[in-house]
Amino acid sequence: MNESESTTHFGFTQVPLPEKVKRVAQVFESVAPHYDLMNDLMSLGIHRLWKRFAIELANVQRGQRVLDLAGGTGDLAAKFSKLVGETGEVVLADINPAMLQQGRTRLLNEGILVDYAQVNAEKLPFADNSFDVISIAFGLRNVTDKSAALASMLRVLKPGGRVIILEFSELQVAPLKPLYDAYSFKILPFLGKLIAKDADSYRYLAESIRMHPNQKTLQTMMEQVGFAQCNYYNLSGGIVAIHRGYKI
Amino acid sequence: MQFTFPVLLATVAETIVNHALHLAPQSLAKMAALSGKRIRIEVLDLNLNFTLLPSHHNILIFSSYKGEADVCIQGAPFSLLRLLLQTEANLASMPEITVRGDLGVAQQLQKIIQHLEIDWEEQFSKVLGDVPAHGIGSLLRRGHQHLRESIDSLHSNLEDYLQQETQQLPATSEVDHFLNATDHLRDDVARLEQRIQRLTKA
Repeated sequence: MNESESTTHFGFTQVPLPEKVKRVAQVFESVAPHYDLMNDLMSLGIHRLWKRFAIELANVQRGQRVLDLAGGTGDLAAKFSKLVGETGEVVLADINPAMLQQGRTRLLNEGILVDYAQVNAEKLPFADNSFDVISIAFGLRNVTDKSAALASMLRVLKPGGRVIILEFSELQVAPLKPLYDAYSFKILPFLGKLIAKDADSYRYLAESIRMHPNQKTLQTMMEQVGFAQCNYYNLSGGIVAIHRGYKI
Repeated sequence: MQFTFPVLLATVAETIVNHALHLAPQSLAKMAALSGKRIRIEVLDLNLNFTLLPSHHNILIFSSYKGEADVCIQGAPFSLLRLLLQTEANLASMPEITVRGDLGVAQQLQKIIQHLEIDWEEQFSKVLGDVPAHGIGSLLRRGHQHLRESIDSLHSNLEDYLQQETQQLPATSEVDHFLNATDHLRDDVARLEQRIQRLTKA
């Protein structure tokens, strides 16, 4: 294995493969207590709308099984649980115990019952063909081997099932790029320092967005692992994109 | 994006309705009876449809939910608005509104929305404590009662004056008749359009 194969990006820096998992875990352990507040501040509340679009596109039906990967504080899982009703099942999964604990506390306080699992998206510990819908919102860019994660999702999806990927993507409005960069690399770490007392973690979040595959590349990656009828929707000028693919 | 506007509309409606429901605990408690039901509202002509999912602590509104609904209420925009806003309106007396599925669920929801009563005293007590809040609440209720009677009286006098004396505004029955006639006319035009299309093809 040469050096480029044994390292991966962590924001703009190259780190050994096992190191990325540890560093991402550190970032999310640090931001977990302020995650919702920071999301609201960083996106001016628009992240709620982005998630709403993703839920509408997921088109979850009564009685279905839904896996909410990188579910974090449970925004999507809460709404999915209402959609599947008493006959369905929602599994809120995250690799990070601190985020999962935040989600669990929040959903229990709201009286919402779902199942919880601490999982690695690259090696999902579920049986083949077991979910109707899999969602991963703002999580895929933190996964070390994205293709392995996509293949694992395809395996556990039922035939006819769909995956919904909500993730930061490439801004399609060129004149706004300098403004967007200034916001990401100057204001975002400043907000992180102010609210969560952790500028570095938020600098990583901004850098990881730039390193994430753009709309077309992610669509190609999905098609390469075997997803069918893949398409994507740009939101807020491409700052965020929702990819959808089916298992046939 | 094709469904941007409906999603925005659904999100705004959901926020407003939930905010109102949390200020009206009695209505929220009644909403719990509808928990788990799916109510679809189809607004004809505007090509909009919303699905409501009530639960014991809020209501979710989706704009492009394609799953099965327990009841589907279908009507023209004005008819649906009248159903929601006029306290004397009910589903049984509005033939221009089509209801498919569980009529009881639709009627329960309509009653909850029509009789949404916000408990201001509870809101004050959270800030001021129970005793001052009760005093303020009683004062407000008496003031509100007096104000309502005065407004009702003013409203009635003004209505009579504008409708009967100066004849500048139409009577309620005339407005209802006009709205019904508009709905009929739109249906007729739609039928005529279909007929013309059929004749053109023939």
